[in-house]
Amino acid sequence: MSCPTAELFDLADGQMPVSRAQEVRAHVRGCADCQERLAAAEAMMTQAMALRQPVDAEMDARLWQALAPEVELAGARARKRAAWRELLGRRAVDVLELAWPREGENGWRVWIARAAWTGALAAILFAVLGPDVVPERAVDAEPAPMLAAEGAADASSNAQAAAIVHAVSPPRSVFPTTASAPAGTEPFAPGAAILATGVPAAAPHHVRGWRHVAATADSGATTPGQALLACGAIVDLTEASATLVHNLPTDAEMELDDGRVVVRVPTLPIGGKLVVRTADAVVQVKGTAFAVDKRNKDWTTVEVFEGVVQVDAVGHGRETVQVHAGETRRVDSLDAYLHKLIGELDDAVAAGRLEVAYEKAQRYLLVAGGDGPDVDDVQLRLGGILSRTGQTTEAARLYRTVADGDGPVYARQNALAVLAVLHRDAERLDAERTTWDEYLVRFPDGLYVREALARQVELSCGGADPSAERARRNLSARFGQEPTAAAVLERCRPR
Amino acid sequence: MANASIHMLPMDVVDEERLLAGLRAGSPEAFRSLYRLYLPKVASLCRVLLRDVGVEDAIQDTFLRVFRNVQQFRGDSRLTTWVHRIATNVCLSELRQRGLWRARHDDLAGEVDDGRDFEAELALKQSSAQLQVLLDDLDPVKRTTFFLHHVEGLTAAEIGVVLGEQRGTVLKRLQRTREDLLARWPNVATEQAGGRP
Repeated sequence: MSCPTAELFDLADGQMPVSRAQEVRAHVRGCADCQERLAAAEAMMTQAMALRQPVDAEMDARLWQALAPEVELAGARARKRAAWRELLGRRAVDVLELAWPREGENGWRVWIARAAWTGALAAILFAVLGPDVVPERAVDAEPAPMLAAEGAADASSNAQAAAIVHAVSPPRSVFPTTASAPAGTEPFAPGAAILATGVPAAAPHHVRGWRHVAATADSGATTPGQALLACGAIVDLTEASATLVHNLPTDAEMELDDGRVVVRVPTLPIGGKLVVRTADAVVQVKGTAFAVDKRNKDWTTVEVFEGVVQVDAVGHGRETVQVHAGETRRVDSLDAYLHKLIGELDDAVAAGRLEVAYEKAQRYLLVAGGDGPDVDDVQLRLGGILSRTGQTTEAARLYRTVADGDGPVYARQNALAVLAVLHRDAERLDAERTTWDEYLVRFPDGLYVREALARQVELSCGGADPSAERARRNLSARFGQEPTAAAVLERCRPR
Repeated sequence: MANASIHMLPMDVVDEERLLAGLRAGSPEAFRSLYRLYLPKVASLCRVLLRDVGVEDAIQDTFLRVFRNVQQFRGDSRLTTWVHRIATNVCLSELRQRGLWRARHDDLAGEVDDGRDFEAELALKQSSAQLQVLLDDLDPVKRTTFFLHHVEGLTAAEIGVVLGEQRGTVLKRLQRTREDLLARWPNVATEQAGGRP
């Protein structure tokens, strides 16, 4: 058998299937030439890993500072595109983008292009909907939702009219020109003809710090600090900082960053929805009055005054509850919830209740969905539970997943070392040797190098072949002064 | 065992689909996560290809292109492949401008003339960083291939996407690169590695 360079590298890189790796190693043990080249390949792979160096904090900060304006622009572009997509459909967006000026372009070409497109869209909408449904510019004294409620019982043309009226009046109220919108996020040029058509309501608005926006009489809001959405909902933002993601007559969504909002929602059109998101919960309503409170970083509180709201806790497989009038529901943040689960898991392990611990670990992995801060640790714990209950194959698979994953170095090291011990306990000595070999290649300065080297010596105990000699030499060179290592070396001298 | 402080990856977004959804929705957090997730990878690739000259500019240029064009990313390949492709193009373009495209197989003494620090390289060579020195002498495309496969873990097919080549071409180059490196590795006799299949 020859030992092609590619195979030596695959072996050194840990990419070779175990069965093939054993064959190649068997050959290498009796071939001095291959040993030398494998050692070189292994050293090369070890050094290759060192090419991935961390970025120093100063450079990171400089880079992010330089990139931040582009992030703002790119985000605004994406939100604009998403809004257009929502309004016109995917193909129309592709066509529009052919001529729509990009952010950052200035000058008369931008204004001409915008004016042309807004004029064209206005003309199309006017032609489709007819002149009798286009509302006047003036903001109605009465809130728009009343039309929506009437429209539900009337002809469909009335429903269309309601949608148009909704779209016209609220946006200027929620986002007066004094709002601290980031540059480039203004949906349209001031005075553009499209303002008269209602289309701006579909444009994305990303205004943080509503608390700084002073509602005016022109806003359509009933009292200062309140805002009227396109769907007719009245939002009290006096103590809140929120982002309005969508503001359509049938689909409104806001992200509550901080503080407390109180929302009063009229009966929405069929298929309509209003969603308030926080980092912990998604609150979806059909027509009610409620408050969402995100003043504590560890949870969100939902209080319902009228009707019913559905609250979905953030995280896969977490609870969905209906909160009725007069009820208050607290939803823990995902981090707080996961932290609590880990505590319960450890308690169950300590008490020897492995079935409960197994359920907690599975639940953590389900909810965290691969994103949790301690997913790798929980997987290692789960592996321990599985091996203690005799499910060694499953445990080995889990350890391998962690070892080959993108988790922190200590978790990958632990997984590989525990996997080797699992093989040892099951008396799969070749697999154990291969795993320790892999460990030493991947973590030459790892936490378990001494154990790995000592086991390599023990596994070739008394042998006189080059690999046994190399194992003894490595252990002696690095840990020969330590009593346990010296004892192993003494016990495993070549016969 | 738990130690959240040493996590290397952003834990809020590691799922590519979720990340892409956030990017398409214009979420600033998604852009931040993309940056945090790929900065180490992009920085390593830029360092390997450009050494220490113009690395920061190349990283910045890469992310600018990523942010500007992420809406056009259709998901035909993995996001990581796409980001690597942009970073590779930025670096290779920079090398072309510098006129350092061709591989240099000069000996160390000859390299003093092009501004490289002979003492530092010698020290590097004598320490545990022979690979870095050997990689510096490779053709940039070979260097990229080796790095993407053995450090970033990309498959030959994915590297093909990055470099705009067929998988077979990448495999052949990878094989030649490995043999080349092995042949010049200090403890391996040249004649042993040169004629290997």
